[in-house]
Amino acid sequence: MDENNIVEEVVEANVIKKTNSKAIIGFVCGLVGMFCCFPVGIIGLVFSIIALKESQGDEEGKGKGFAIAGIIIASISIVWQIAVIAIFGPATIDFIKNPNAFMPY
Amino acid sequence: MIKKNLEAYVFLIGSIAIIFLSIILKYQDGAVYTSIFNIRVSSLYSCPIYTVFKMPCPTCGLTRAFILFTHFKFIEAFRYNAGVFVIFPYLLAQILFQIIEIHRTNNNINNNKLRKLNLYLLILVGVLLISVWILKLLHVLPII
Repeated sequence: MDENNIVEEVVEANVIKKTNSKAIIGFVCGLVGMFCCFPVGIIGLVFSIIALKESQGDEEGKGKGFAIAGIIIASISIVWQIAVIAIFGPATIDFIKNPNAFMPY
Repeated sequence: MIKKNLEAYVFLIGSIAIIFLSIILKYQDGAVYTSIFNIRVSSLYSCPIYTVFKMPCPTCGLTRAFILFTHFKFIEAFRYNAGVFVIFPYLLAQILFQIIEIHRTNNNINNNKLRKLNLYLLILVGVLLISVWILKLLHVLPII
């Protein structure tokens, strides 16, 4: 075997194939959005969609799984926050207690 | 150029926006108001975790703590969420980090060490924020 071929193989084996950082950010933001006050799920969704588009252009599709998981989790966190605020939020409770205050005419 | 540095721009603008908003908002009479038109904004949003489970989440009180912190009311800020003493310096560091990262990426300089340092800082901030939350749940720190 040629020495150059061995060197190339070693180099190829040592190349670290990194996952798309946007996919990881999207996934983490989506996950954090489930457990905190701030609507970081929106940031997670945007990053995950961008990561998914980028991974479709990539032959190996690195980070595609993370991006899809990020989209699902971020969507759930957004829906969860909106639903809770819509159902139990202070504005809704104020409206239930005193609807006339919101509709003066 | 923006597409190449998308993450850096998002974190840079996000950090500046959070600090700017906490400066222009004010906290009085148990509610958050805008400084200019005195519009009450705290009635529009509530923590989903607290609303459903009646227990604070790790970031509960952080908005009020940020507002009070940027108005130099440090003791009151500590009472709302002690995590502000970790997150505020982190955000200031983020502004510096991201400006350096954008500059280095545009000049094709390797950013790996800077990113690694930033990741370790983020993990440290996350751990400290969760520690503060646990202390709140154990009633060592006040829940407001």
